Amino acid sequence: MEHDDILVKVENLKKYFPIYGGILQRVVGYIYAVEDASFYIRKGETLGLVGESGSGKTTVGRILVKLEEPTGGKIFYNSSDITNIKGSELKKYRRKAQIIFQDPYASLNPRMTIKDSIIEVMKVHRLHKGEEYNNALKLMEKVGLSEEHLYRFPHELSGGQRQRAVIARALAVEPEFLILDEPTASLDVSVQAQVLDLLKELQEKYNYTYLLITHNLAVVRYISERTVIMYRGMWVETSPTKELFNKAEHPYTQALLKSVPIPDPEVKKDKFLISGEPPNPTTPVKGCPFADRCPYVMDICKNEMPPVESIGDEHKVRCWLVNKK
Amino acid sequence: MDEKILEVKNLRVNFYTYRGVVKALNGVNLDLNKGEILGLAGETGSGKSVTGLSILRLLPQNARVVEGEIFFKGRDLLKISEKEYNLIRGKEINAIFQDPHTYLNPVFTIKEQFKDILLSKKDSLKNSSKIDIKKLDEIMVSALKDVKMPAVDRVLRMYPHELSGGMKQRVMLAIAFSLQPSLIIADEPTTALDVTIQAQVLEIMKELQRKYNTSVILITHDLGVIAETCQKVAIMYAGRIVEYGRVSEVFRNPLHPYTKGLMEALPRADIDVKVKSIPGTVPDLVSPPSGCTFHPRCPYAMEICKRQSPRPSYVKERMVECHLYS
Ligand SMILES: Nc1ncnc2c1ncn2[C@@H]1O[C@H](COP(=O)(O)OP(=O)(O)OP(=O)(O)O)[C@@H](O)[C@H]1O
Ligand SMILES: Nc1ncnc2c1ncn2[C@@H]1O[C@H](COP(=O)(O)OP(=O)(O)O)[C@@H](O)[C@H]1O
Ligand code: SF4
Ligand code: SF4
Ligand SMILES: [Mg+2]
Ligand SMILES: [Mg+2]
Repeated sequence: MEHDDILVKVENLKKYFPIYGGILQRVVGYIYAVEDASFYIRKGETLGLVGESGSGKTTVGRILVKLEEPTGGKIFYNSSDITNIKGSELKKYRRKAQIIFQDPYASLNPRMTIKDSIIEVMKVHRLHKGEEYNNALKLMEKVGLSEEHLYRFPHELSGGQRQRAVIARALAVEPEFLILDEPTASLDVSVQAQVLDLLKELQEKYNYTYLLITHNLAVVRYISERTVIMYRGMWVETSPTKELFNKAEHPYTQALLKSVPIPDPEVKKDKFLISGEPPNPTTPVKGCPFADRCPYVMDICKNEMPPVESIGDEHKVRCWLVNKK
Repeated sequence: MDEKILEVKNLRVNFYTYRGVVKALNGVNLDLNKGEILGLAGETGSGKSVTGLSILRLLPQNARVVEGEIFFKGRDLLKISEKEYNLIRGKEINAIFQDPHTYLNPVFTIKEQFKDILLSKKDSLKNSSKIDIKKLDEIMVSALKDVKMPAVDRVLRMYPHELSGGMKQRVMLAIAFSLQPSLIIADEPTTALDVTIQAQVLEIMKELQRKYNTSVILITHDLGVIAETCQKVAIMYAGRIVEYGRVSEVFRNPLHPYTKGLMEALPRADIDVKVKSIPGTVPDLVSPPSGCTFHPRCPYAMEICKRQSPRPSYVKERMVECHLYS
């Protein structure tokens, strides 16, 4: 059930970025990056957040680790509202929730050895006093690296090793909740498998809770229990992952699933190509966000936001077609 | 009989860097028939782009072809003068890259650039029966219609930044196919695109390829794209092609341990699989491992693999470089 053991919950999250223009640099409009993100994640669970580029996934992740203030909506952590926490509460939360970005270069200081990067975050959070080095060593083992890697600079590691080092550093502050933003997008397939299995193994052992942000549906199928599909800043379908792959109800989800190239020439897919591209989110969504690309679009879709329909245990869709059924 | 259009023989390319000599290609052999799409796959640094750039003769300054031949319609592309090559490039052989910005100039409209490109090929089109270079506008409009570009006239007046990623890549396809070349080298043309848009662009590419019976080398690290687009596939590792054959055969029954490893490492969107990673990482091409360069990562490695590099073996139509098959 929805209420058991929920660690993170967001309700109607919104984020509008102002666009400045003119010689006075006044606000001339907004980028409606996130219009409505709503989901929950149980302790020890992986929720996949899927959507094409620009759909607002990273923005949601940044809001969740408080790098960004939401324009609207609420965030709950362990049932308490943390939307507006400040001071020591915020500091405590920042330790529990860590984000790992796609590009491991961006998250490690290129002029610091892995050891110094890891020890630095421990010091910031005043953890493992006097035991920093020993704990850094334990972390290396945890992520499948060895002591020698502690003395290397980021550019002296391979892509997969670097991403492991980033994971080690995130784990150094003993978090509970990890936001993984395209964690394997910069890796080759042979190395991607190593990192995915590491993430799975760590979760089994230490019960971490993951929000996995990705546009890779194969990765989602491999490691997330439940999935949310976003389009233009708005969630359009959410479901247990298995069910989503077997009976997606939203036309956008269906199009996504049919567009993924399958590495098996014997699988003959029925093609379901959708035309067009997602628009720039510089106007607020009116009606269904997918209306201008949807092959089933009806008049009502363009003007009225489709209501949320529950079509199975934890499977919800926002589409007028489903509503009419 | 298949008509062979391209034949790469024992191609070796080095880069001269401060770290030493990077042996990027270590004897690449490849052939391509007319009207065929060949997928060139392999991990980062395996030599896919260098192979493509060698055929296009667009290797950077610090690179040298140290050995090998590239026969295109019977002529060795490495032996002809730059002037002669210029008659071929663009007209007979063309390219599409991942990032259209390396090709499209931001300060000119699509029309201005397209026109310039066509005009620069004037000499090579003098005797063409298919294309009348005087009808520039017609060529451009029909090329853009070929790629299903909506509002062609408007697009021609636009600057590259006014087009979305998918539309820019369509413009690249239009330019690449406009002179109906025999060979197109497409280096990760859809890697930067979202899947629904990738599907559109690949569909258009396949349609044009069939329409003009073009041969295509599609460089990608996405085996899914290859399975859905190509007839043949070549798997590269550390500057060599380790397996080559029909897509239907190689995917059903990969022979080379590296190909097997790659296939097993792939999570899939259509079925549940257990993925298995390949241990270790790709070798440093300044000092590659002895013998078979895959031996430090290979679960089947034998004594001989450390000492001797495998020669190509042929299993029916398949080429595989591995001691298990020799
Ligand atoms: N300009 C250069 N100077 C030095 N070395 C280079 C240069 N370009 C490529 N190389 C090296 O040549 C080898 C092959 O590179 P190539 O670009 O062909 O790889 P690739 O297979 O296309 O990889 P990717 O999937 O990352 O595009 C690599 O070891 C690379 O580091
Ligand atoms: N700091 C910012 N300022 C202005 N616009 C932003 C900012 N961050 C993101 N955006 C815009 O918000 C939208 C959603 O972006 P993002 O969350 O990064 O999407 P995704 O991660 O799904 O690709 C995009 O249009 C993006 O350009
Ligand atoms: S609400 Fe209408 S436009 Fe939106 S997905 Fe459903 S049918 Fe398509
Ligand atoms: S030659 Fe030996 S090391 Fe190389 S792939 Fe074959 S079995 Fe493995
Ligand atoms: Mg993002
Ligand atoms: Mg490349």
